[in-house]
Amino acid sequence: MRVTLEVACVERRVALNTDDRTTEDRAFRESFQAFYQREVRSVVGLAYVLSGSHTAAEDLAQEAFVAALRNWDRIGRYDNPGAWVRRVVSNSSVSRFRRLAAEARARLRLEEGDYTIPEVDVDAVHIWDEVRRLPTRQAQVIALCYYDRCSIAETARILECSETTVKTHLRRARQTLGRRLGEEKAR
Amino acid sequence: MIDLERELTTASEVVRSQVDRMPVRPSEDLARRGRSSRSLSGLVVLLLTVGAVGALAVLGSNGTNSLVGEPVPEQAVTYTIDLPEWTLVSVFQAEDGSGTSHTLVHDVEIEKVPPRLGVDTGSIAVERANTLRDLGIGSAGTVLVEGREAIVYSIPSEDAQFIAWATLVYLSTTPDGEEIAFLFEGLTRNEADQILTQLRAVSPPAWRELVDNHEPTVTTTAANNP
Repeated sequence: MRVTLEVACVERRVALNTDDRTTEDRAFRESFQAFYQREVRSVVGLAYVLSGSHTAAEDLAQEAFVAALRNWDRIGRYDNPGAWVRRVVSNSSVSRFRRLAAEARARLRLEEGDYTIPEVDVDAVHIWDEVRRLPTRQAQVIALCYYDRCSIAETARILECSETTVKTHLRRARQTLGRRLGEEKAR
Repeated sequence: MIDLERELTTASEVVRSQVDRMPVRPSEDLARRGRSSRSLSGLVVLLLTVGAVGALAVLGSNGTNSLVGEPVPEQAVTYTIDLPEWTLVSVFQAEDGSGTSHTLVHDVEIEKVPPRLGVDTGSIAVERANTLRDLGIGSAGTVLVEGREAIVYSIPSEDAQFIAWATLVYLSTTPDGEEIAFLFEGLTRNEADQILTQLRAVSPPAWRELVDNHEPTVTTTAANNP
């Protein structure tokens, strides 16, 4: 973080044509750190429910936070930077080859300690497996609305679609999930 | 009947409780991770370059054919180079992971910068390509392409405002000489030319050798023309 932040701060000073590196740099650094600490667990969980991978989830989330850090001057000014990070994770987690790449990176970094999510109850795993069988947008809507407890409006902002579209995806997802899980239970 | 609301709520709570127990990587690790992925990349590229030669030699055909028959956007330019044993597809993606998805190869999403960002896709892509020479080849993994394993190289971007990384997928082709294809979606020929020039500058050795020894023939594909 230090190096990247320093680079970002230098770039910011150049942009502002100022050599005052104390107050503004500190505020810049602290704002990202506070944001990261506040959001990281929730975002890792979102990556997990959408990717289904213990090993890839943390990496997918970190990738999103690194992207946010690189552009923190811009993203930090958003009303809700967390929505941007969730959009990144929602998109990257459902991409098969990005998940595989994240898993490859995680395996290469095993020596750095275990940052993966502890094992999740098998029933919950099954529910999320079924969610991931849904069309991508429907799975994203379910993950955001249930796991991340986003409102319809928040989900629409994250996925950059209308609230009506979110409601439609939500309704169809519930229908499909209800049918599939109901059939399983009947068996 | 199942209580779907309860099932989903419970499943969500289970994941949240597990995530809350997860150790969190310090934010200071973020930059170190970026650097380590690049330092690892040298080794990865070395290993995969060696491995790719062997792996691709035994893989089947049809890499290029998978690019044919799908609708492509207007202005799409396909470079077709007569090279044995290699097919390369470059993928550019918006930083937030979004973009219109064109599945040109099964199981590999090829995404482009969404027009709604209000930026010129081509110029951003060229800016992105201009940074490649300063970057190492990034993380690597494998994907299944039409049932066959292909090798993925990804190049992380340090500076791009909208494009975070490009992924290069090497697909196998027939040993008796199919094609290598660079597919630049939504770009003009001139823009694609510039990108190809930059890609040559950052190619792994085997790729560079192959590319440099062959001049591309260029086909401009009309909109929705299979």
